[in-house]
Amino acid sequence: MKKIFTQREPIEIGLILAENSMPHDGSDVVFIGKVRNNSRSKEVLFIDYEIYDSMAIKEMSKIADEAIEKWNLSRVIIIHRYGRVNIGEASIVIITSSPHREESYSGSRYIIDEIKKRVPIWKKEYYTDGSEWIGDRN
Amino acid sequence: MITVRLKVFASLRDICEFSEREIQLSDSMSVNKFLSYIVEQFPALKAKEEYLLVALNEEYCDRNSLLKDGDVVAIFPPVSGG
Repeated sequence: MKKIFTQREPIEIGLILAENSMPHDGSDVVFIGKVRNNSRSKEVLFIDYEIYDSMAIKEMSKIADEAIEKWNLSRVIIIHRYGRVNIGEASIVIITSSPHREESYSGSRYIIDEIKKRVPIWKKEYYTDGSEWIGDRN
Repeated sequence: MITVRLKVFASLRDICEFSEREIQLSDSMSVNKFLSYIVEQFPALKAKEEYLLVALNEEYCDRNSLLKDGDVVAIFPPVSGG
């Protein structure tokens, strides 16, 4: 089971975790990527995420397929937010499920690492004295 | 004559001051040549040219691919999601 989506609203993790839970699985790994209040010695107020939605969904779907194939995962759910995300809120949630924990841990790690490399999403950090696109080079 | 839709994201959108635009080309050309043409139109992109990423019809592409009528080309800086 694979489910990939993006949303502006905060993510309700409990609801998503209960969705399509399989009785034969002994492990759910939940990765939550959060917005922290500091970055490169600056105080961060919030982050705006910009997303190339149609391509991002396709690319995350490919990554999920790769993880399912490699670790035989029973369930992969990926939710990425866009728009403004406040300090402490989840910007991304990844759920991987499998009969045993090793596969869901490995799959989860693979998915977040690949998302950071390939998926067309950009964050702009806002500070008390300005803002900056992250990952950009001048 | 072919028409290509150009999408621009994040810091590159700030430079171009638009997020989407139709561009008419007198003939088909490679993605690479199209990029040079865009940089000519928006010289401020020059500093970003070396590392910008390109997608053709929502897939990362070979820059030697030839554009055809109706293609969607997206240009963007290195990604920073997660």
